Amino acid sequence: MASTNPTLPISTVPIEEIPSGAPGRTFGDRMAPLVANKLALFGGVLTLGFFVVAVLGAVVLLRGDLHYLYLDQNLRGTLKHPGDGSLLGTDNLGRSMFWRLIAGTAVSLWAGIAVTAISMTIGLILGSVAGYTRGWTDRIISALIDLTWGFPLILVAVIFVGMLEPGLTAVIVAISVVNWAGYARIVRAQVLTLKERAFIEAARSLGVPTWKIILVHLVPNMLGTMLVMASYYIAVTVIAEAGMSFIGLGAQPPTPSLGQMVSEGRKFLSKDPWIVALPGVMIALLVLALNTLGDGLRDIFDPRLRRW
Amino acid sequence: MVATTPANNYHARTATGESREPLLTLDHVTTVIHARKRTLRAVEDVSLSIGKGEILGVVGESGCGKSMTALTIMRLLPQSAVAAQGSIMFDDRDLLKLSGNEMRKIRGNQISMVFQEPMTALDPAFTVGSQIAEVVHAHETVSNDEAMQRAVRMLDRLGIPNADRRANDYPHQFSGGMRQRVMLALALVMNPKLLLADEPTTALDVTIQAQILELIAELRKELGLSVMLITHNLGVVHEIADRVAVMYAGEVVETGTVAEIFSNPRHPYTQGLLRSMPYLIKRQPTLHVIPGRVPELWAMPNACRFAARCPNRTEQCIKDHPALERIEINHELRCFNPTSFVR
Amino acid sequence: MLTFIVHRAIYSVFLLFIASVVIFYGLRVAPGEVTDILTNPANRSFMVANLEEKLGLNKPLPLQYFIFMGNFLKGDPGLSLINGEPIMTMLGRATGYTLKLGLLAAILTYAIAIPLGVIAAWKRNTVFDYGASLLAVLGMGVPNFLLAIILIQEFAVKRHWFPVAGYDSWKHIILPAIVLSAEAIAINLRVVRASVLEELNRDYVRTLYAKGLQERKILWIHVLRNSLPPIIALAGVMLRTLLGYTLIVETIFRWPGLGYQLVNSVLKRDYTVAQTLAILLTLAVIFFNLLADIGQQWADPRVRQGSK
Repeated sequence: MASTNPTLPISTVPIEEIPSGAPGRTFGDRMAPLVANKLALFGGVLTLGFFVVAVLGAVVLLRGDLHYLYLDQNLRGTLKHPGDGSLLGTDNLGRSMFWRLIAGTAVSLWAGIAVTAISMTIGLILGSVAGYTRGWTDRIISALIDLTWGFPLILVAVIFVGMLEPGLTAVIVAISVVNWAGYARIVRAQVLTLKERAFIEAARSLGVPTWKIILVHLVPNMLGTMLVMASYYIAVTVIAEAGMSFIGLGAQPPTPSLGQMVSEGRKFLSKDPWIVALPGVMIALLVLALNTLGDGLRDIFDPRLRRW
Repeated sequence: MVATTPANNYHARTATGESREPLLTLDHVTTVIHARKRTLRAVEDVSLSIGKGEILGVVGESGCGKSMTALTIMRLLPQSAVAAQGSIMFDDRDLLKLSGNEMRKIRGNQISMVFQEPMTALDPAFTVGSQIAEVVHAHETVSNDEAMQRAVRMLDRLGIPNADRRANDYPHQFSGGMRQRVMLALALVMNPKLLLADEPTTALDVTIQAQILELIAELRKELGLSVMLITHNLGVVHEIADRVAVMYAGEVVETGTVAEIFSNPRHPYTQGLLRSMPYLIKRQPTLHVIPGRVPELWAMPNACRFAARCPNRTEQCIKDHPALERIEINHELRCFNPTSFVR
Repeated sequence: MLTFIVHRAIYSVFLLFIASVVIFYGLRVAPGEVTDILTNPANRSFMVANLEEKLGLNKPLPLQYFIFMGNFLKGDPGLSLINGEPIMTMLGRATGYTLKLGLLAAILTYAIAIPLGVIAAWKRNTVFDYGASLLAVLGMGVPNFLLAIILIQEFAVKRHWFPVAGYDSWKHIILPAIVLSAEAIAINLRVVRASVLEELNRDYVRTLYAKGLQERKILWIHVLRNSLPPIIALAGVMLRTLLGYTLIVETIFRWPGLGYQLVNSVLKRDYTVAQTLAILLTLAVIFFNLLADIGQQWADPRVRQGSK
C-alpha cells in the first residue's frame, strides 16, 4: 500500500474530509465598519438636530416681526428658573432663554457655515491651482499657505475687529482669512497625487481645458476629505466665535450669541447658574457633535487624516 | 485525543553517542493562543532537550511552531498566548513556574535570544554600545566604564572593526550583517549558557550567512555555549548543528543527530524536505514539492497532522494520532508508516 | 537646506511687511476715532484739532506709516494714546507676564499629558485608559472660556482657594494656567498615547525584554524616547494656537500680559498700542512658523514645499 516513489498515484484508501473549517467572521469583525459608521451616525444625528434648531433660529433672526421672541424684556419676570412658567427660564432682563438659545445657536452655525463656504472655496481654488500647475504660482501660493495656516485664529480675529467694527462680520472675515490655508494645504497634496492618475492624463490628452479638469475631475474626488475637514473647521469656528463674543468682540447686541450669553450670565452664577450653563452646554454639545461627525466621516473617507 | 509518549529518558542522547549532560529539557510543552473565540494550539506536546555545548537545529516551515517554542522557553509570549502544559527544566528549575522577576534575571543572562530581523530588532534611538552595556547593568552592579568596556570587547570579539569607535554609533549606521553581530554581542555579553537563535541568517545575504554561522560555531567552542538554531533552511542545519529536531504543525515529528537524519530520514515530511533541497541530491529534472498545505491552527485534525499530504498514508494515519517514539538510540519518530529514504 | 531657510526668511519678511501695512491702515481707517475717547464733547472741535496736531494724526497716512515703522524698527514705537505711557515699557512688563503664564502652562501640559498618555497606552482598554480618553474628550470639547468660568465659580468664588483675577501673588497664576493648558493636555494626551501604542508594537521592544531589562525601564526610557517625534511636531502647532488662547484667558483673568493689552487697546481704540502689539504678535507667530518649519525640514527632508 505504501509507496516510496512520489510519482506513483497516492494510495487509493478513501480519506474522510479533513476538516479545514474556514474561520467564520466573528461578531467583532462584522461590527467594525458599523461602529465606525456609528460614530458618523451619532455625530450626524446630533449635528442634524442642531441644524434644525439653527434653521428655526435663523427664521426668528431674519424675520423682523419675530425679533420680539428673544428681545422682549420682562422686567418683572427676570431670572426665573427653568420650568417656572417659561420653558428654560429667563435671564436678568426677563428675556426668554429658550428663544435666545435658539437664536444664538443659529448665529454660531451661521458663522461656521459662512466661514466654511468662503475658506473652502478659496482653499479649493488656490490649492488646486497650486497643485496642478506647479511652477511659480505654486511656489507663491505654497509660501502663502505655509505662513498662514498656523496662525492663531483669535489673534487675527482681534486684529480684524480692531480694523472693522466689532461684530459677527469681522469675526467671519478674520477666521476665513486663516482657514482657507488649511483647506488649501490638503487640497494641494491631494491634487498632487490625483494628477498622476490615468484619467487625468486622458482628459488632458483630449484637450480638456485646465479649469474644467480641476472642476469636473479633481474636485469631486476630494469631496470626502473636504467634508471631513469642514466638520472639524466648523467646530473650530464655533469655538472661536463664542470666545470672541465672550470678550465682547464678536456678535454685538441685540444679536444674541452663545458666547455673549455666557459672558452676561457670569454675574449671576451663584444663584442662577443656568444662564451660563445652558449656552455653555449648547456650545460644548455642538462642538462635540461636529467633532464626532468629523471623526466618523474621516473613518469612512480618509483614515489618513487621523488627528492622533 | 493526543497519545502521550511515556516520559522517555531524553538525557542520554548526543551527537556521537556519548552522554552529554542536558542543559534544557522541554517536557510535553503545549502553548495555546487565545484568539477571539478560538484556542489555537501553536505548540503541541513538544518534548526536546539540548545538551551542554550542543547545537540543536530546529527545522520546519513557517508557522510550524518553532519560533513559538523558543518564545515559550524565554517566556516572551504575547499576552494572548499561554504555556498551558508541561515543564521546561533548566538548571533544575522549571522555567514555566518561575515568577516574572526570576525569569527576567535569566533572560539575557543565562538564556539569550536573537531574532530574525536585525533591521528592526535594535532600538534606533540609542547607541549600540549603550544597548550592550545596558544588558550588563541589568544583571550586575558595575560602573558605567566597566559595562562599556565589556560591550566594546564583545563587539570586537564578534568581528566589528574599530569596536571602540563603533560602539558610539547608532543601529542605522550598521549594515544588516553587522547588525546581526551586534545582536549577538547583546545576547552573549553576559556569557549565557544557552542561545536561542530564531532564523538569525534568513534576512541576510548568503555570504554573510556563512560568516555568521561560522561565528556561532566558534563561539560555541570557545564559550561552551549551547545553541538552539531555528531555521527553515536544512543547509544551515547541516553546516553547524549537532542534532536536528523537525517540526510540523506545532509538533515534533522527528529528531536525531545530523548524520542520522540526513542519511536516514524516516518521516515522510523530513524526506520531503530533503528532497526539496536541490543541491543535496544529484541533478533532477524537476524540483520536488510537497503537495498540500499545513492545516490551520484552529482546525488541526485529530489524526496524524501530516496525513493529508503524505504519500505513505494508511488508514491508521487518518484515524489515530501517532506518538513520538524512540526508534534508535539517536533517533525519534512520530509516524505510523515510515519508509526508508530513496535518493 | 540653507536655501530653504533663506527662502522662508524672505517670504516671512514679505508677509510681515504686508501684515504691518494692513494692520496699520486697518486700524486707522476703522470707524471711531481715538480723539472721541480722549476729549470732552463740549470743547470738541477745538480740542480735536489740537490733539490731532499733537499726535501727528493730521499728516497723510502713508507718511504716518513710515514714521511709525521707522520708530518701531528703531525700538521706540511711541506712547500710548490713552495714558501716554511709553509703549516699550508696557511691552516689557506685559511680555514678562505672558511668558510666565505660558511657561507654567507648558510645564503643566507635559507634566500631565506625558505620564498619563504613557500609562493609558500601557494599560490600554482598561478603566484607566477609558478614563484618560474621557478626560481628553472633555478637554477638547469644553471651550476654554467656559472652563475658566466654571473653575472661577468653583474654586474662587465658592471656595476662595484662589483669587478671582489679578496678578499680585503666585496664586493668581494657577487658574489661568490650568485653563490655558486644558486643551493642550487633551490633545497631547491623545498623541502620546497613540505614539506609545505604536512603539509598543515594534520589534525592538521584544529584544529589550529578551535582554532581561526591567519593564519599568523598557517603558519609560526606551519606548518613551522613541515616541517623542510626533509630540515634538505637535508642540510647534500648539505653540501658535496657544498664543491665540492667551488673548482670551488673560482677558478673563485680567492677567496683564500681551494678550490682555492687545484686546484692551482694541476695545479702547488705542491705536499706537494696538498696532504695535498686533505687529509684534504677528511677528512672533511668523517667527514660530519659521522655526517649526525649519525643525520639520531638519527632521525629515522629504517635506518640501513648492516645486523643485
